[in-house]
Amino acid sequence: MKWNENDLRMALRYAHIKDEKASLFRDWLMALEPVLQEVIMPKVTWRVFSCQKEEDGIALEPGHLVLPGNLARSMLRDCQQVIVAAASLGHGFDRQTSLYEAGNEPARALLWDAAGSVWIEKVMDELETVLKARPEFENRFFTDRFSCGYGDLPLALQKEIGALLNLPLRCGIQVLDSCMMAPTKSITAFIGVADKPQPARIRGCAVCRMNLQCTYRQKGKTCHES
Amino acid sequence: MKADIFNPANGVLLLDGAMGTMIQKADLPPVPLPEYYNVEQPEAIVAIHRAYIDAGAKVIYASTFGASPHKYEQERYTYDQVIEAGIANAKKAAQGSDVKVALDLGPLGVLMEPMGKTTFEDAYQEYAQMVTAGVAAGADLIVIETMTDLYEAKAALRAAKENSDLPVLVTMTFEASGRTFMGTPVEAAALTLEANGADAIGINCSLGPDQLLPLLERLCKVTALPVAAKPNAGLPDPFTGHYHLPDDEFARTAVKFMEAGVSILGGCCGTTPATIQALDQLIARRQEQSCRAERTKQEGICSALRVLDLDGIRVVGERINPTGKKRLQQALLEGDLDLCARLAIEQKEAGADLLDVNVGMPGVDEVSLLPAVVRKIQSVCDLPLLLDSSNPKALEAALRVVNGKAAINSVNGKQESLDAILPLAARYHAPLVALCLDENGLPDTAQKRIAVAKRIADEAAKYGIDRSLLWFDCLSLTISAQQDQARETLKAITWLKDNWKARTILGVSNISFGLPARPMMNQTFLTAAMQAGLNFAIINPSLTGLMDAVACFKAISGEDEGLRDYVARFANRPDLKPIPTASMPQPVAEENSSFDHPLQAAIYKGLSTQAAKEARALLASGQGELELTETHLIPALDWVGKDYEQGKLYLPSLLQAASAAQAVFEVLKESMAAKGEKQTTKGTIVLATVQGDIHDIGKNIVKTLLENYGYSVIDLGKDVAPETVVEAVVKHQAPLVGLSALMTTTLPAMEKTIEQLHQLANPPKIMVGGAVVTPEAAIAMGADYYCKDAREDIAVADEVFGTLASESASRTDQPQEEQR
Repeated sequence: MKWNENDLRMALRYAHIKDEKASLFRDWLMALEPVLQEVIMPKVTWRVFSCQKEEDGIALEPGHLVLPGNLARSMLRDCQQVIVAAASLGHGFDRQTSLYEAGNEPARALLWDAAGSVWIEKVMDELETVLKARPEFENRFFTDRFSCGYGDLPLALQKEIGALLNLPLRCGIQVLDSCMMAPTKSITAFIGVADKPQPARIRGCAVCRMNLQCTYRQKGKTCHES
Repeated sequence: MKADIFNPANGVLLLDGAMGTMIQKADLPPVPLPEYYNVEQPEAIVAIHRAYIDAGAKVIYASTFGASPHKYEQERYTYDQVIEAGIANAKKAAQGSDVKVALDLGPLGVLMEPMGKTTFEDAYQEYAQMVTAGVAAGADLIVIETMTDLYEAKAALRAAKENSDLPVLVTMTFEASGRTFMGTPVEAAALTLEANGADAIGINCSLGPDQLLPLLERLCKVTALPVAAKPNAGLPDPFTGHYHLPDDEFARTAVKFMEAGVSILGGCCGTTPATIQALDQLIARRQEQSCRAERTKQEGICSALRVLDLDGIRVVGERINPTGKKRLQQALLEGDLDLCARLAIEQKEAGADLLDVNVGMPGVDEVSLLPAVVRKIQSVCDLPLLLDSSNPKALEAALRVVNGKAAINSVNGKQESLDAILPLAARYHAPLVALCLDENGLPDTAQKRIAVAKRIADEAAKYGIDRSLLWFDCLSLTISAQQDQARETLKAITWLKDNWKARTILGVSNISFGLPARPMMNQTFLTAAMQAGLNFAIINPSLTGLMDAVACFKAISGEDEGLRDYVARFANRPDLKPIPTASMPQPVAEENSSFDHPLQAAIYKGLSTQAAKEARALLASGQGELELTETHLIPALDWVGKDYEQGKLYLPSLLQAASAAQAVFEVLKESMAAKGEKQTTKGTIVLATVQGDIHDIGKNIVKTLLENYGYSVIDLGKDVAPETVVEAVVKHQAPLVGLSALMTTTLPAMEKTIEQLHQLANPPKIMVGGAVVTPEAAIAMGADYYCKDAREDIAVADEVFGTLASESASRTDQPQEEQR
């Protein structure tokens, strides 16, 4: 996997660099790419569940994981199946962050953290591409990917996803009581599978739980504009 | 029952298969935790055990995998109830047969240090309780399985060995890369588990038999212990969750396991009694293959991430030792371990292979400090350690918390030392530096040193310590005082190498005390010692000349194959090339005339090395530390801060400037420590990322900036319990606390911490920040300040401490007025 222009832009933004052409830090990000390749151990896992509407939400089977709220209901409106996926960059990423911090390199630590946030999404993007190409999903259509914490989908589901996918063993992810995941660059996601094309629903501030305190929005911008 | 149960000479030992898979197949009513079934569905569990016994299993794992005290704290049954019932069910199934029952210990489901908060001792205590319950219930052996964290596996293993006399099998879970999720390679696991007393080791879960085969081959090459394999039945189908590998295929791969040297077989996720039956039939046909492979033990040491190959010359970094280093002495006395972490990182970057760790000095409690420094170092550095102390209690405390396998520095020929250190080395299977001196002092000939070496080796043998575990130190003496002694040292090294193939170690720089051109003498003596056969050079790896000598020697001895490292080291080194004047970098200050001094420019631009150099020059020219801070450092930082606030600089630039300022501070601290002075502080602030929150980059940025501005920061780290924050505030009498939270789910922990702080008689001011914290939320939680970014924390600190200073001034004024 390699950086592309959009990745670099996102990473600079995550590192609070507003001028995306700031060449020094672009160079730093480029220099971090081989470090990423060396120290991280990306891991993904996924499983397909059937889904059905119930009174209190959308229920995934087997395991009876119920996704409450409007977001899940609207995202999975046309879906018969849901892919639950998880990805992690591994503990090597967090070790490297500590190393930069302990070695009096806070700026590098900040850029490294930003780079990791972009990289983990790339890992998930790549998984999604692989999944789309599987014969089981031929002539099927994926919804946008969405995660706990988007809109009204509670973060508290993280614990149950951890158990459902056996994340400690399959992906090396520990879901803490606070629902935060370790290693820090770990994500879980849902992708609905339908038999008709799915509109893009997820991008935009309306589904973001940060929308009230977002600094981009306060300045009339968005974090996802390209 | 002794560890004979695992002895390959008795044939292949057949373990059982998956419990979880069988429970799923039995379609039992759902329960909160699987061990509930031991109490609520004993017949079903007994039936599963029986099915495995009927299939041929000779060891069955009681269903106690997750029965830890903390998991069962709030449950209907206690951990010991489910363990007792679990063992009883297995024993019932095994009744009338020679099948043995194992207490099964899985991971605790917590995050161990340094990634999480669970300490070695915390984990040890949990496992010790489970072991005690298992022994009381009548388990025949203990299995520790599915471990991905070597540190946790070590805690479980030591708890098992120290709280029972049962044989212990430890199996860990690896990815196809041959590393656990925590990054531990197969070889480091083998070394560590062997050193901590496992009777058999192996691999279970995660992968199918085909993928486990290369890992098992690696494992068998590096351990003399019996090896176990308990693979999954392939990989789960993501559409159904089922495992599909046919049993006969599973068994066919198991033949290859046996050929590699595996002598204990079983199955993990997805396997059933049919799988075990297939293995049983295979064993019956292939029994002769089981003990074919002869194996030898590795002799290395390791961290959790890296094994040190002991063949060739290895560099021991000597800088974590307070002797003669005032700055380090001061840091250790103050409990500031960040400097040790930095020294570890620097030595690794300079090329050290392992690190000597010594904290012995007057005024410190080595028994608590040595393990604390070890924990700090292993949180940022993956080099194996050489624990250096004359205090056996400190050594033992450190050996316990080492993640991996460390060596000890040192034992000597004095009876007192032999009696104290050898049992310790035996208990932890730790290699040991053996100083060739005794009650009669330092022997003055090679022959006499060899005689001491023999005595130490003989005594060590009484404790079962093989001579190969002793690293003999033939001692280097000051050549200016005793010129003939250098030759005796070299002679002794040569003799030990030639006659015993022994490993030797030497602190090199003693040789040149009191002489001019010390680096030259040290380098030459090191080269001579390497030629004599030296294995470990204890040196400062930041001294280029010594490291150059090591690199050259490795090229000559052939250890550096194809001279790759030699070329990489020397090919483009600037100090070995004449640099044309035109390409010399321009002095930074000239680029921007608005700075009063190049130091300010260097800080502004975030050039740490340059800033430190300029600061040294200013000190050398007679400027005082305080004056330097006030005239250069703070103005430069203010400038950076102003430009950041105006959007001319971004956060990374601000942080680069902060790290340059830190480098200057380090120079100032060194200078003051050398004069026996302490830096003044503007005040003490406690910082923490709240409980449940493990993302602390924001808090660390705040810490760096506050330190830049002269505040002392007590950094409690991440995932910090409210009580810990309160304790620290009371202990350090901190008037200000900073709390950070990243997720909405950790805001309640922030609120709880604030609540507890408010209950103090004299509550501190509280500032809060982090991605999800808003000004409104800060007020609602009762915080005094909301900080939108790290710069605001400085303003808050200035306000709080400024107010305190003026209050204190007015308090001081008042009585004076009254007096008047």
